[in-house]
Amino acid sequence: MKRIAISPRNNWQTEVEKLGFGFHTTDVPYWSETAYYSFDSSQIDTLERAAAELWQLCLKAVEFVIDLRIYHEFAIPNWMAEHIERSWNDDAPSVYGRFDLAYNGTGEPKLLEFNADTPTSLFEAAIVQWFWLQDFKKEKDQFNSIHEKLIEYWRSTKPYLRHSKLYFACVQGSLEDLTTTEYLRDTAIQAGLDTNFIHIEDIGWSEEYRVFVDEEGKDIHQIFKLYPWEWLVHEDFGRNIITDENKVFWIEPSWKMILSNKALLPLLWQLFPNHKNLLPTYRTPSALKSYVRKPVLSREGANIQIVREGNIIVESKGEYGEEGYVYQELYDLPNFDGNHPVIGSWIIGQQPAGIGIRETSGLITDNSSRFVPHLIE
Amino acid sequence: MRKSKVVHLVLITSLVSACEQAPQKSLFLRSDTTARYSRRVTGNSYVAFRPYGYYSPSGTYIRSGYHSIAISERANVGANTSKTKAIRGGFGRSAMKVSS
Repeated sequence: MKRIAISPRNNWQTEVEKLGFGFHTTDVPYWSETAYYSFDSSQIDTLERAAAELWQLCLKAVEFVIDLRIYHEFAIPNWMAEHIERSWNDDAPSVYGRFDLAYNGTGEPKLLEFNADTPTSLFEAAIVQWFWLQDFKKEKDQFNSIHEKLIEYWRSTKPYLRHSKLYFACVQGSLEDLTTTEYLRDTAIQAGLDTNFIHIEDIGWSEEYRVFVDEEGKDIHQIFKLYPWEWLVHEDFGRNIITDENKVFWIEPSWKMILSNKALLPLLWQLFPNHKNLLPTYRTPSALKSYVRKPVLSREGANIQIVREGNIIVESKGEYGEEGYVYQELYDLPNFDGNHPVIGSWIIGQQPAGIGIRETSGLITDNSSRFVPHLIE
Repeated sequence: MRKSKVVHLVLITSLVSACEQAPQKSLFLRSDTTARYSRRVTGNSYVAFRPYGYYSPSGTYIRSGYHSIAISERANVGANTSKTKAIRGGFGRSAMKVSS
């Protein structure tokens, strides 16, 4: 694994905007093609195997939580238990997830966390870096069949979905969220599904019929939502989810609440101690002297504290932590001339499908990180 | 090869240009207010909302409301009191964006 500095395409902004990528720059470029990461084929094999194995561990962890009904440990309200169990037993469609891995090209990748419910950076990984490679070195390969696998997966869900529109929803006012949502809808359309878009704020609830409706009053039977389950269940319509007469198919399904939660990390360590792709993680600092403290529910690197030998070395601000914390053994991210990459390893359906790399100058991968493309030598 | 062989996009590519356009004045029709719309066009030409009603025993025509095939059946039920009463805004208050 190498980090290689290059000159970006002269017109890179225009090129990525042609694809529909409008959030490539905030204060600083988010999409960065001033460098790329290069892997050899055996390193990609290692990453692919790790993702496949971690996915299997996660499924076993979900089964464990459901069997023991320990939802309180995940800050999941008990009234969601039946919904979660039904979605699990019905094998409700689950489209995607992203493992964040620490890996420097040697040894085994280590799981930092799993974004199982509302992972973003999908469009950058599936599309923008694919087209970058077409311009940069078309003959080279890339670990990235995300686009193909999304279309295949949507196609495979057809027998499970109902004969009505599949809605795609995200919040108003975020181009990043809109891009991810519309990209997924793009792949669903290519798979032959009948789709519609709705902002999450426009979803209606009919008290009379006890159903969710769209802006025109039509029943919603199935919906992909780029909106976390932990927010849905705590908002005004939250409890309507369990009384809804149509029993809407929510994608991602509600059993993903168990996986999109940092409480998963100590559970995995408890169930599979010393697994090569896991880091020791607990609900208390225990015997750890150097660790990363993460809120059970949090986003974009908020409220992270890094402690080395008992001393806080970095801390990020935020509003999370109410549900408690987990403590993960400190694992130094690779350092390529001051750039610290985290590998986002995508699961589409049930299969590893590719990677996207975000790097930071600091030790916490937050909303100031850069997306850097990769290729296979 | 481990990369997608071909990538076609059918929807997303228009997103940036669509977002750059100046907001236009639009008329949004709520399905639960159709009963209040006034008469538009009669005859064989297409109309968005068709009036319907009945004749009372005294022979007076009483308009019940308007209907449209473009909106849900439930929202076409006529008088305001029996329209679908949808509440909105019960989701989406937790944050401005989701990215994780």
